[in-house]
Amino acid sequence: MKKRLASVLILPFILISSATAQNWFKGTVDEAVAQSKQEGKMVLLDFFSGG
Amino acid sequence: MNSNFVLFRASRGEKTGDETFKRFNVRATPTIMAIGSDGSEVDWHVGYSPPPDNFLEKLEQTLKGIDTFKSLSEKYSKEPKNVEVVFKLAQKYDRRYNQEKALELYQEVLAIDPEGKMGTTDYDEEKVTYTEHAEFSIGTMKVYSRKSDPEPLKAFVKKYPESKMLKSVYGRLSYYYRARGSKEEAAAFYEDYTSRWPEDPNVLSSYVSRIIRNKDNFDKGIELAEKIKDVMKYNPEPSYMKSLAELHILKEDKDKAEEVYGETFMDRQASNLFYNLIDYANFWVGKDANVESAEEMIDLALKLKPDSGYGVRTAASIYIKLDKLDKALAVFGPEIVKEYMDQPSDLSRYARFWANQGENLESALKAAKKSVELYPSDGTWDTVSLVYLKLKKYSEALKAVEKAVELADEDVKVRYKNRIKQIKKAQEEETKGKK
Repeated sequence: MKKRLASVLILPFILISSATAQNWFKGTVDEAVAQSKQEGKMVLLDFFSGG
Repeated sequence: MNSNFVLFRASRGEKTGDETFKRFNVRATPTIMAIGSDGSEVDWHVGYSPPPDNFLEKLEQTLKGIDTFKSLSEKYSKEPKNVEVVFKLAQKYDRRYNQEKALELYQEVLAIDPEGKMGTTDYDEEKVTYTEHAEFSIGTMKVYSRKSDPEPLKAFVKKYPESKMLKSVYGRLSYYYRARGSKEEAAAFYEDYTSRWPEDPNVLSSYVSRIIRNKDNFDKGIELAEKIKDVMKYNPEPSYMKSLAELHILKEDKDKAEEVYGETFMDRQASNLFYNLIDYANFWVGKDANVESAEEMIDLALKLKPDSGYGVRTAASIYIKLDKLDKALAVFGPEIVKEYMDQPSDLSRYARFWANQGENLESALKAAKKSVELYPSDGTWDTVSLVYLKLKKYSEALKAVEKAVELADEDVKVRYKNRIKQIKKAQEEETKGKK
């Protein structure tokens, strides 16, 4: 699991600092939650103030 | 990451982002929060500290449901006297700034395990009991609250005189005494604080800040600030020197203030920064990594000392490595060399630099010839020879190095004989190539 996460996430500061490193959901939180339900996942909210 | 979660970024300053901050009452960044598919809050992690593996481990735990807000809440409803669960849940609330709920749970920890016998938790790679940590957390909340009450932390110091959290406790008490409490109370606290950690500049500096605030006991402040200077080995933080200067100003000794925090001090700081920037840029360009930042830093170094020969030569060599010849020529090219056409050593250095780069050779030759004209020596003639060699003008290169041999002392003649061999070898290779 650790390796799988690491291979996709690479580094947390990438998640935190780079808008391009991840495939961010476009829409509202409620829409993200609806999608997470369909996909059987959780929503990970990144609260960010550096952009 | 996308395979485990639907990723949603809430950015401050954007409509959706601001609404999301408000909706989840998030006040600090970075904060990462996991939301279940039913929209409920599963867990959160506030702040980030390296290494990245720690963060990944936290996310793994969130995925597995280990010690999440949700799992702890469920456990708490079944085991309200489990001190570990109560403590961890208190921390979850604490990190979300829900102080009321956190305080209530920390107090439950104290009620469940007043003697601190039911287990330990981590604090800065040390183990402390849940009880001790709960008391520390309560004290922290109280001292940082609007009314700022230091009493719980003072009680902590009495109860746990050997605590591994003691320095953090004093640090928080210092937050209080820096601006609050009577002069006498603050002095007693800071005497104690600085006697415990007499070599820590931050500790000493906190006392200095209070003295400046009091506008009293300047000699003590100067003594402390001088000690910071000694502790920091003559390279003190500017903020500490500012405090020392402030104390001298308060004592109406402006000259002394300028002596410690004046032009000389700041020139030294700028000079240190200049060399640090160059080292940084050289380091990263040498590693062929982080080169954009390296270039920015070398640009900055040149702004600090645009007339430094070392700076412009290093910058030029870095720009060349970055394949930016125009930029190299702009800082150390034909226009610049015009400024020292009367200085043979600088001209020779310029010519050798470009000869070694194999670029800008016509300008290099002009400079080399001028250096010989101004100061005919074995060194300047050798520079001319080197430039001709790079220009593949071998007979001229040989004539020049022979001049160098004529003028050289016996012990350095061997160096020029090596140059002769080098030129002849290049000449032979060219001849072979033509055949």
